[in-house]
Amino acid sequence: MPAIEIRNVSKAFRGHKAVDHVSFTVEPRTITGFLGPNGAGKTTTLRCLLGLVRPDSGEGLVNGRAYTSLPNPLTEIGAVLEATNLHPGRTGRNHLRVMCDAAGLPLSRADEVLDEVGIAGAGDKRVGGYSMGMRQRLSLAGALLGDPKVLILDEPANGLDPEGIEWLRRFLRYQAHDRGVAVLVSSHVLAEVEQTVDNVVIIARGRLVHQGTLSELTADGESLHDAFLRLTSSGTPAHTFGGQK
Amino acid sequence: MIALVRSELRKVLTTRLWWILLLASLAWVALSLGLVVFASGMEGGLSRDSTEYAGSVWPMGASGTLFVMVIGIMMVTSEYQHRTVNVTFLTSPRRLPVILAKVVAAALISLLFGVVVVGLSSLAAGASILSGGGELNLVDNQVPRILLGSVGAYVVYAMIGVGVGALIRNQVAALVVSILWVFMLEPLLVVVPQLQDVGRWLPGGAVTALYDTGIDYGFGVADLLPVWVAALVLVGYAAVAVALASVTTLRRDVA
Repeated sequence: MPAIEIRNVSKAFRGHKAVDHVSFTVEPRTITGFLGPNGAGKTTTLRCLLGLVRPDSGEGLVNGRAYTSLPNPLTEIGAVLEATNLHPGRTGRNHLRVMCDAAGLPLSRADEVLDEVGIAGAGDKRVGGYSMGMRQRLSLAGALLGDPKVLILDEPANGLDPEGIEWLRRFLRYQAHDRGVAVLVSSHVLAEVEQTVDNVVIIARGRLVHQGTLSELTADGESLHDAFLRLTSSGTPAHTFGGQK
Repeated sequence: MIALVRSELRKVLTTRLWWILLLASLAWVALSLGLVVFASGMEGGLSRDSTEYAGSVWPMGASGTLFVMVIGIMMVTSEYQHRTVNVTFLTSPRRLPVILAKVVAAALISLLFGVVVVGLSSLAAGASILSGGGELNLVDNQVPRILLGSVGAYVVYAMIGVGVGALIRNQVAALVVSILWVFMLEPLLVVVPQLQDVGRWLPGGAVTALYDTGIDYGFGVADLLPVWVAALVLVGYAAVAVALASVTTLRRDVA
């Protein structure tokens, strides 16, 4: 059974088709890059899977079940959406403790995950004083509270410095390859994921345009960058600049 | 459910809002009480050993209820404002239990609020009556009922606040609507005799019934609901708001 299964999900906002019959799966022990230009429908697809947005048709399954029917979601799947989902007046530790309460986890998990993401020293600081990178790490800490076997990260490298991005890469590889976690990481910055992912799912204008392993995609010498542009371009020729031919 | 209530209580107690509003509510009650005490010292003012004076100072603790309604509203709207609703619904994807936990948590916090504010207010009220030569047993010993009713008013206002917040997710809109309602619309409906038939069934009228003294200040005795009916009506308002929210705003996509 795949850890994540997106089945024919469609969602329109005010008549605009944000996601159009998208299906793909994510298996345990792999890192899958969920790629697409800005506005391609990545976040909407993830929100449909996570029960935050109701798809018009289709469904998303986690370990074979709809997210909203998981008895205690945090123990099965950790999700990091934008790192802005934090109350600026609450400390990092209390943000995590609020989650521990609701999920029935021991409060000591808050300190453990703060340590795991490398911001143990900032637990007593209000989130309002956090840098973007610290907020990303705090959000990630929240996803780890229930020690889940599935991780979903939406644009996790936003706001991370090069050192942070390198840390995230190692972290994701450790989770997938050492702990057997199924990781789905969305991004529009290819360089972020090129060295990390095993599989790629590419969508453009709400439609799935490719699913497969990274090595398949780049087998005939084409770089991920070129493959991505070929798969996602809308058929219009690239602009030329400064009178170049 | 207990886990969710504990989580909601922690949410409220881990930001500054609750104690700022507690101070504001104490300050508001102190100001209101101070004005009555001050007026009693002026010529033509109520004598501090009179029944009318006692009837105006004992229920004064209930004048800070708006502040717990704000807490109730903010318990829902700040989740949308700061987008923490994402985390909340990811942790507990069934949304109705989350709102019900907020109602329970709001009731518990406002109970604490009510006990503190009404307690301090009644100490001051009692002291001012005794120092004016009056006695503490107001009209047929209604004082305990008035004080309990005042605390009850805090609890129901906070619960209604959660319902309003769930219905009107926009923080500013929810606050403006409820403040206009409490300060502008309801006083008119409760005071104007021709409108009292409607007014007594509205939250403000029903809450007034909880701590009304039945003393005539020249407008006629207010025509209010019996206390137990009033309490049911108030809990009913909170229930209706939550029920409406659960089939409307709560079902909406969280983007």
